[in-house]
Amino acid sequence: MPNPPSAHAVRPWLALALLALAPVALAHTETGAASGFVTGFLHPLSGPDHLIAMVAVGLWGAFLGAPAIWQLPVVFPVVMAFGGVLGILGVPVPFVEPGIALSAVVLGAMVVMTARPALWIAALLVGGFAVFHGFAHGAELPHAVSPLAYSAGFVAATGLLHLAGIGFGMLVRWPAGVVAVRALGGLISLGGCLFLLRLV
Amino acid sequence: MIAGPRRAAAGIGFAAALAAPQAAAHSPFPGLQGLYTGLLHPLTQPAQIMVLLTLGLLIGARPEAVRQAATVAALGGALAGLIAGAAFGLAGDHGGALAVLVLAGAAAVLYRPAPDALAVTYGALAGILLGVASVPDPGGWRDVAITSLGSGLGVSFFVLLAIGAMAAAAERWAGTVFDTARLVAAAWLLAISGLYAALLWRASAPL
Repeated sequence: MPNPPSAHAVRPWLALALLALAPVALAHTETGAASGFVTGFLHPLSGPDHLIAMVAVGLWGAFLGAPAIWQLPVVFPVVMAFGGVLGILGVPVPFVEPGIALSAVVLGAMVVMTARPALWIAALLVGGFAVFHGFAHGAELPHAVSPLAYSAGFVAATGLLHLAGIGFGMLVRWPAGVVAVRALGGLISLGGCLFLLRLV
Repeated sequence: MIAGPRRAAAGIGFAAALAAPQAAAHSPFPGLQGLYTGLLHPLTQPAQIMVLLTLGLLIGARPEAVRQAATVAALGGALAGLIAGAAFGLAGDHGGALAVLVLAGAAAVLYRPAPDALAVTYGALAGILLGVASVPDPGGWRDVAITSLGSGLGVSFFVLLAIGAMAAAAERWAGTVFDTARLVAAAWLLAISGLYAALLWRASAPL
């Protein structure tokens, strides 16, 4: 009568059995709507000039207080989408890149100076610059796998950048926070100057 | 020694039980899967979700009489759209029409105060389009009927949910915070639908 197999002898078979039973790894890249959303979400984050200007909108809104703190983030995506539509449709808009750099210079300067113009002036300024940002994105839009998901990601990222600016801008409740927010505004304005100089 | 192999064999059995492929969920009743698919259809179409959100934003915070009239208009419109869409073979994506509807609705939310009559009209239009966009693809009459029933129930449920949730939120958080959130959401929906419509148009008619 043969001896029963020892535990040592069974172990390799156990390992083999477990390997054979392991489910197939479904390695895949995101496609369709998920890919469209991620691509759209990353698009506004990919350009530092866009990024700092959108944060500046939030910072300035926080400085201006209600109702500007929420009206500027309402105005910006709407007008930006209008600019995006112009870009998608190929309608020519001049001075787009200088306009984007200038937006960082001006909006950052507004934060540094703690400027408090009338709400309509602030909205006009932010909206005017939003056209350049939207156009640049619209003109560069790829043939998205899922246009709706791409657009949703794009707008969500823009809104979250504003929110980041507003969040940081909330520091103005404290004296040291005012200094920090104005310093960030200064950095944004300086960054805008560098982008502007690079274009000249 | 015999205990070792026995434990190993028990281990293999246990591992095999754990690693067994999951049972594919399936319907015990023929056709029930179609009903389920129809029920969830609005959630599988992002453009329809946007219409539902816009409907909620535009109608949910209205006075009760207006809200009820708009809800009835939306539910009636959905039923009419579903029946008419099935009768005339209008099954399809309808993304462009839904995007324009969201664009108009979000603009109406941002334009304060949009007239009550506009809200009721918008409810009817949204219902019709949601109904048409939920028409099942052609197939056997029985499958189409069951899926259509699911679609009708699904659209009705989500219309009620969108408007009801917004009404509850308006009552719970009445004031600046709610108004702000509502306007920001409308601005986002307007921006997304505008870009989506432009991208669709560009894709259909390359410049």
